[in-house]
Amino acid sequence: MMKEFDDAKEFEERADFIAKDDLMKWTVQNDFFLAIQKKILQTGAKLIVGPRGTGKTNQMRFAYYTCSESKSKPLAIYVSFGKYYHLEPLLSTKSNAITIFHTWVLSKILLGCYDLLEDIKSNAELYEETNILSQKSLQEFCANVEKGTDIDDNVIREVTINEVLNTIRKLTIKLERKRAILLLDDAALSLTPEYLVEFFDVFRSLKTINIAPKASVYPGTTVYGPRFHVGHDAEKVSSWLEIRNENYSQFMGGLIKLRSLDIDEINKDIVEIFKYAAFGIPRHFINLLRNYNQSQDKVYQQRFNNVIEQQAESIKVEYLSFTKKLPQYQNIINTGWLLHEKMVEIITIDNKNIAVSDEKQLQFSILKEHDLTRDRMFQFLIEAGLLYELEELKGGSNKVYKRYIPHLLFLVKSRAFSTGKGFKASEVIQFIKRREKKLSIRRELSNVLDSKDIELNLNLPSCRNCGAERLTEQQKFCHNCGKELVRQSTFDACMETQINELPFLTKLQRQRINEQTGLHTIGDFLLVPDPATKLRQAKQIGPIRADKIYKKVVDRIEEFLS
Amino acid sequence: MPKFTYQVNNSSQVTKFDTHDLFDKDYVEPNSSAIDTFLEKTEGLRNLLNKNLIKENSGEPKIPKYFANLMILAYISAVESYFRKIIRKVILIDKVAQKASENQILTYGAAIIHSPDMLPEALLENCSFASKKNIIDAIRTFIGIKGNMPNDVNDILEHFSKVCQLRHCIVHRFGHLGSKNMIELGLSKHKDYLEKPLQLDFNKLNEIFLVCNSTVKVINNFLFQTIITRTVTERNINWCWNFDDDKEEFTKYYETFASKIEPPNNNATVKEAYDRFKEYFKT
Repeated sequence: MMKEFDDAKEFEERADFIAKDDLMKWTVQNDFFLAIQKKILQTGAKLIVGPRGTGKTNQMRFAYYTCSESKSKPLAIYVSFGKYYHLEPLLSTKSNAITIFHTWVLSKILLGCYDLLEDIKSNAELYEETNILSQKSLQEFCANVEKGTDIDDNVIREVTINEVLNTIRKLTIKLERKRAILLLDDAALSLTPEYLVEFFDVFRSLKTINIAPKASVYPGTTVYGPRFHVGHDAEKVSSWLEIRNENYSQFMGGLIKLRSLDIDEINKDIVEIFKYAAFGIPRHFINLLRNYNQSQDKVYQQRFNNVIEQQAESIKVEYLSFTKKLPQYQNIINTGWLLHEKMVEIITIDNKNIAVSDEKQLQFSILKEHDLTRDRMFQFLIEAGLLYELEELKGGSNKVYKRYIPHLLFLVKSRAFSTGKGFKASEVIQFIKRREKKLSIRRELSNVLDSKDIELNLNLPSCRNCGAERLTEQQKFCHNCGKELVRQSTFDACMETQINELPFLTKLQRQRINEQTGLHTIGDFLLVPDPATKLRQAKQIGPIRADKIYKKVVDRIEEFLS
Repeated sequence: MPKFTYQVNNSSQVTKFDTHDLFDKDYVEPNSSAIDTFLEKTEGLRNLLNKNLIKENSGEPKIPKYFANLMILAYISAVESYFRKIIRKVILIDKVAQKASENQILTYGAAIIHSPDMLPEALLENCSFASKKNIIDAIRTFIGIKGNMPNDVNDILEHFSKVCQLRHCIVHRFGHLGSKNMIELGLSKHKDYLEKPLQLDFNKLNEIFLVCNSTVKVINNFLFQTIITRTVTERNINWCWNFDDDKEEFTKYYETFASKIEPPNNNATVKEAYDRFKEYFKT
């Protein structure tokens, strides 16, 4: 009998929800994975770079468990900063928000030390229970900071970089380790540049002889503040496996084997296409398999198309959700989407033209120009995992091109690898596995998009007093009426996301939840004491489904805020 | 032998300079709270800047040369005036502040000429508010606040002290960075800028304005919260916990601090503040 796929733990996509034993068992330990592990375990500061779902958390937790079990390995402290966006409203209401964030980061690291002691069942004591730095006191501090209320000044005074370094040093000695590594997960902080700069200042200060910080970040970000220099202060390590890697298919296939995913009913060629359509992101691969298994469609072509469509839609929704988090970049983000679509279209045409050959086209090169907003647009696409950035290409007359591979799922969707009118999985996969055309497509941005589509101006809110449009992003006072320009919290705006916009709910579910439960926005789920029970007020939503939906919403909130 | 009189520049013309008629005799100190006086003055300054901005089609407008430097002087002056006014007003209404100030020295001239309302202002004649230390010292000396300053106060005063260093450069060196300022601002970050002039654009000037505004806003809230709290904890006022009976006393404190120009929310009234005060302390 087929399993209930929603419940199958083998299909869990997020490493943070996988139990220790499963995580250790399911992790594909090939050369690529082990090379990253080595970088994490060795000395020296590192940035583990990859978009969401590429296995950064998996890498860090794997390293954490490995170290916790072996005294010959360094002391590993694991901390997630996934909740950083909860601190975003402080930027609008507290003049000392950066200091509060600084203390929150350090407190989280101390809490990571407490977690380690619990995990390895050690009796070693960090601070006495009455100390301001006791586990309870720090937990309370962090919870209050995340809520934005009752922030204890005493903790801010006591938690310093030196205190944290000393604590880690003492702990390293107590637990008989030679050195320590700090696994700082979810440290991309890409939505709050103010915090990002502070975080990497702390990161630099934590880097000492026997302590090596490792932070997981998204690709695309090139500037980590005026005092942090990538390369000098930390080495970049990519966790995003390139689809052109010779072991790519094997690595993705390893996920199926190790997790014993129930995919007997799926055609092998389709599984192979899914591997590439996942574009190096294990989470997407598992998702594609699960959705395919769940699908009710009888015709396999229709089933395949629907799963691809559904995934494309979900990637699009996730990408466009940036506009909610960073409304000032709305035009830039939307233009980025158009650009990606156009790149896919142009590559598809090129592949049609070379269909009779034994080559394929994947790469798109765009002339490099010095323009901050343009760079920002590409940064969003890379961060979302829609563009894989390759090394720059030098053309004639000193021209330099930025080289990218657009998301393969969208190329599959636009039939870039289909030769005839129908759909044959075997043909598609053969096309994908063709050798690559030597010359990539080369264009200037202005030749890819119509000038009317290139909207790269910032969407800055107007002055609430006189309605004048802001002149610059950094402006604090109105240039027209002189009033202070209010900084709108985007976190608060995010919480207003409507139930109708949640992609994992069916139309009927959205309608019922809206009409029958009183839950209308994501924020409502946080306000109601027991949202799962509340969900059951909707018809056809029983306890199991309610729990599932609630888990998805929480998941969504965390993802949204990460 | 006659004196050597060769001139290296042209001669200057006669000047008839007197100071008494430079001031507005008819001016009456407004009744508004110290923070509102500050907000009015600084909005005026920003609008003066706005009138002089050189706006281009889009993007950041330009500021005429030297204008930004003058703005900083005026802005810091507004912050200093806030401190003088708030300390004077607190001394007038609060027993603890009066006690803290009673052994401070007052000049004879000020004592015989000032009205009682303005007299505490004379206490501050020798004070400067152009650094974190000076401000905290004044708060301790004249208002009698003890203990550590909260983090937000410390933090914003750190920033304000930096703005004061810029002011120092402008007042004494026409905006060039002096060695003492360089050390105060941080040697390692500023060593390449010694004797270089300030270069302020619209965005940077906005940031400086924000530091000054935040300084006043953070400290104003801090002073109100601390002073009203100690009326209860140090029992220098016998609150009846009934608005009608407490109204007069509570309003004195509230109106000294509350902003009508930038209230915390649309419902802010003395009654609302009193209710929250009672709710917190009575239980």
